[in-house]
Amino acid sequence: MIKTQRFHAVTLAACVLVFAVSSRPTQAWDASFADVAEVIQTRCMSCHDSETRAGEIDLTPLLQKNNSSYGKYTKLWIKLENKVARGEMPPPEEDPLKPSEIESIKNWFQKSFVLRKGKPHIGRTPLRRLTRYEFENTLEDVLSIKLKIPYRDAITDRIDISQIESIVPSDIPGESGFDNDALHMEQLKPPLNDLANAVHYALAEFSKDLIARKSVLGRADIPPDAAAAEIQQVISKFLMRAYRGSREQLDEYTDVYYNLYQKHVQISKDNNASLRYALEMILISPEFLYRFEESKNLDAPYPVTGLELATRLSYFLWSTTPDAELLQLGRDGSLLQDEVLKSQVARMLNSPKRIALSENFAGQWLGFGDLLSNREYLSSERWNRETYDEVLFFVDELIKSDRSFLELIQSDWIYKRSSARGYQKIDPESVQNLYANIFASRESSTQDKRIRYDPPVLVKTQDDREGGIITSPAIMRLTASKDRTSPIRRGVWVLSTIIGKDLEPPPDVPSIEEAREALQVKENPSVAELIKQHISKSECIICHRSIDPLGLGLENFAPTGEWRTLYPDQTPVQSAGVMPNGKTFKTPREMKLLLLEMYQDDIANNFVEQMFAYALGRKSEPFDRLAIQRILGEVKQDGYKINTVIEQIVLSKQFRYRQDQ
Amino acid sequence: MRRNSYLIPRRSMLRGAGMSVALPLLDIMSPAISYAKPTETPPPRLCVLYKGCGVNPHAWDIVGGTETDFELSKILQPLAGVQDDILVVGNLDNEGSSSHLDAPTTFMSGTQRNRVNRYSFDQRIADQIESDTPIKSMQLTADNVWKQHPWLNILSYDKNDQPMRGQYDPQAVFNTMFKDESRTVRQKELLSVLDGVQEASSSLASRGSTRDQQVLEHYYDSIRDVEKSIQRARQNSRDVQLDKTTETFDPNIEVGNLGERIKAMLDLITLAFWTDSTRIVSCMLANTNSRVHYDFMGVNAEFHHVSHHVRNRQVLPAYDKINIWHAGQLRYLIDKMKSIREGSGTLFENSLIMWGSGIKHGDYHSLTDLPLILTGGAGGKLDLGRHVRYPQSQPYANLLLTIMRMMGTNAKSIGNSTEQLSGITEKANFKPTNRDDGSWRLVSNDEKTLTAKGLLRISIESDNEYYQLRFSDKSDLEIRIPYMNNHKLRFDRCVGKVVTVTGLYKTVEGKKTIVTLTKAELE
Repeated sequence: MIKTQRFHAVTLAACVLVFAVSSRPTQAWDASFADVAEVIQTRCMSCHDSETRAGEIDLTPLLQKNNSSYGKYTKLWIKLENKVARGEMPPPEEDPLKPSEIESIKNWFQKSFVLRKGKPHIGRTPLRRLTRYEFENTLEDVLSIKLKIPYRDAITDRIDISQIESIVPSDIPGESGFDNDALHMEQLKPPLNDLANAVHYALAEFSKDLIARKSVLGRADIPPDAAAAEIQQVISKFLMRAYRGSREQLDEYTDVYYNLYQKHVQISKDNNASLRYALEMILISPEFLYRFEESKNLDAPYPVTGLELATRLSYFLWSTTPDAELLQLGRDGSLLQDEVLKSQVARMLNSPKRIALSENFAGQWLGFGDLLSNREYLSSERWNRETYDEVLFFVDELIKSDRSFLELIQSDWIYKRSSARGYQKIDPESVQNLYANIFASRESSTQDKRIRYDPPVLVKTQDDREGGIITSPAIMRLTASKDRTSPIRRGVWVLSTIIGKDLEPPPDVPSIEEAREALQVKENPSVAELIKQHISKSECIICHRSIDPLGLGLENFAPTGEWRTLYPDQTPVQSAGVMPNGKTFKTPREMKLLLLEMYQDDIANNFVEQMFAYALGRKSEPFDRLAIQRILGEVKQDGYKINTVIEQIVLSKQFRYRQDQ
Repeated sequence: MRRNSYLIPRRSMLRGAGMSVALPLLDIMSPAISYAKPTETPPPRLCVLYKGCGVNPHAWDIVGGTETDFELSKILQPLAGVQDDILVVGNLDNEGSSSHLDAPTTFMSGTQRNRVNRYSFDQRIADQIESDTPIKSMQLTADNVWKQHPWLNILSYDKNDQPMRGQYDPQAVFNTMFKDESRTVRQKELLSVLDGVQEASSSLASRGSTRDQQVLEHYYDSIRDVEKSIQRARQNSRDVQLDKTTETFDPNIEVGNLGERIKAMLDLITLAFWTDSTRIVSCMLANTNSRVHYDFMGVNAEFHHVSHHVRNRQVLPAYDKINIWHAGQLRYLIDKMKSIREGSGTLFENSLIMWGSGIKHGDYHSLTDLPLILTGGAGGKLDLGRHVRYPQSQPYANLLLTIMRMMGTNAKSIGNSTEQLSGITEKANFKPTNRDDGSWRLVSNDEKTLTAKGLLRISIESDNEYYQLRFSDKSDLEIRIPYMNNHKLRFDRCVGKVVTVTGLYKTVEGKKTIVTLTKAELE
């Protein structure tokens, strides 16, 4: 309710601005900039001028009007507004800003960064290219074959990667933190040699698969005497399939690829080989690898077409090409209606393909994907898969049962490795189904206990340690080194990943890593010792006051996540602590509850921003604020249900519109 | 799960004999290469090895001695047998950022990661010399792949400032080197596929936004790259006779830990140079934020953790041990290359190997006096068996420029380079430094502050580290300052040099001790 009111207030402010701007455009603009420049000049420049550069921050450029909207100094403006709005600047020893001073900074920011020419907008829509993960999924669906490593119920002694993964390098994450960051991908060359080899491999698999050929091409083989029209039809159908339903210039494309096929056939004398050659070209063509949308070259938002929306939706929720139903609703335009769109979201989240969200979105956000890709974390296949699956299934359970995403912090249920004793199982059948549905291609089962892999099971937590994912063995391992825990590393992980605090390293220390390692406490610190050590360093205390209790509160978890009360040197673990708000905790459960009490809004905001960035393929910007506020309002009213976040993101203008500048 | 050691079952080669012997890659390949290019002047090769996480300067620095007669420091001990084959270079300073992500980039181009013109020196050489090798240049990474921060492992950047990721899988490297030869059919087919795609997609120009068209340029660039590299591979007539076995021989290279991976990579580099598959290689042995655990060589800790040794003294032995181990890896490569005959000499004599770290001090991340070793004869161009310490610090980029010229380019500059370095291809003959001219003393003091001049030395004890300023009268002034004070002034880099310091002092038992430094000026 409160959020909704705030939203109205923002809208109202926006309207007033529109009015102000349209009545006396330049004068009002100049006056307002003069105000903000005055505040910066008088209140910030004593420390942040080009001489002193406190914290390496020099605000001089912001005093010039031509640096006061989107451009080179956008990041600096965002930082300034952030620090001021949160009351973190000026520092405590200085007089705080007057409310009117804060207002003038916020107003200016609203006008020139949140809005454009007084109007809300969504920023330039970047061109999306398939990530390796999406590429593999899409090839599987377009060719109706399996390329991924099948989920097995037998343990070997190694973690395999798929053929596609071994041919194509993984993508480099961009500023959004996700590898689907289109603004980053736009600057890179696609690895065409590898993509072509991967397609070549996939087509070889395809040609071995009679059922796939029949279902994709409508026939098993192209007979030597096939008529031109027949072949053209096969190519045309395949083009639509590969190009996500697009009929744009379909006849021209069909002609070109048919001619290429023809030329090839004359040499190869083999219709099927030549068709494969045509398909290979189609599957490495830009129209397949990139998700083009029709552009009107406008600098204001306009809705995308139904088919384009189907594609956006499908890659967001499934990381793959849209299925027939989505294409149908996209083509006839009904997907553009809110109710149809919502019901499609619900349908898609009911499908096993939703695992892409847990695997790809959560796997990157929480970083547990590393358990299966980074050798440093490798312990044994069983251990790595179990710990990975515990988090993967946890996130999937949130979506499957539409639970509150705050349960990521604390829940009275978890997924636990099947061999763990003494747990009360919840609905074991549904778990079995989940596993069977999502990972349908299980290999033949084995009864040999030494190599049999049973997936984790949904259980009730049984003590005040477990619940949520922070205390899962996966996260405990990822935030520790093999030989020791690091309270700082864990604390930083919780603050930055879960709470979304932008932890900047103190400017005089080379980087956050050093800050973290520098304060590496000895094996058995007492809280008092630690706090004392840190209070002596004023640069550090600002952050470490929040970091340390979180990390220390997790000290009972050994590097691989088992509970311990003694360190290896037999000294007792002291994990009770005091949160920055003065409240004390004695168990991990109490700490997590305090985390929710203190940071609930931050956690919610961070979760929405993370998913928003993943959905749009770019990090959120000031101009997304109104949308994010609106989504947060809805989500809060709805009890932080995870699927409400997904639905609201899909309904946002950012998701349904495009803008070219 | 250390089931694999870096050994290759020799089954496929010895199957007939009913034996299964496991051997390292180089050993198993050697019989297959019956002869290498017997040209009069073997081509020059460059191998850049990056070992991140800096060093403990006091275990790295060579103290005393002369240019040609010096004692190797603690870290350099593994190179004792090949001291005449190395050139240790000191007092080269880099500039820019020394963060974990930036260190490799600044090392390779003298330019930060997020800046333009980070086109790395190895690529500048590769682009200019345009050798006719099947592979233009190779990028390798032995350190683990960190999905969230791939930048950590990236050394090379192409002329468009695009990152070139290193290959992590030795098997894939092997295949690129030896298996592509037998894939001419596929290459021909790929060329035709790419031609077709370009033809078919030319109509795309009418769709998409203007910006989309720009993005698409990268796509076509990538196509052109593939075409060029295939053409290179096909035109090249590598004058190396490969035994038939290499075509059918699938070595199934399996590596477990970092040690095995590094060994495999070094073997592959040797093979690549020997067979003239490529002449330019960069390899990330360990990045500057390396979370790899070194238990495989007996240190139960992460490299990066122990590199921050100042505020956590007990990690120092482990830190030194890891760096010594890395020096041992360089020794391995030197020995391998020396064992291969080429022309009238050895492969070693025709290669230039640069080994170093993007930062000096593991904890302070200083960019001054980078730890660097040059080795390999570089076709007789490198004057080896020396320790060259520049009396005045020189821009590190000058070394990159010097190497670029040695490799046959006509490069004029890179990063902040000013000129080529003297003392690399020929004797430096620098005058000895730190002559005591009798002026080392307490210059002035009032109740709180003092100024003094002297030779700065360091005393490392198990639980603390402090500095001593040696005066002409052989007395010492102690300097015990907090970490941040030291860090801000980058004071540690003054060790071994004559310095004038100003700071606050306290008197303890009649002895003055500086407790806060305000200024430190090198002579």
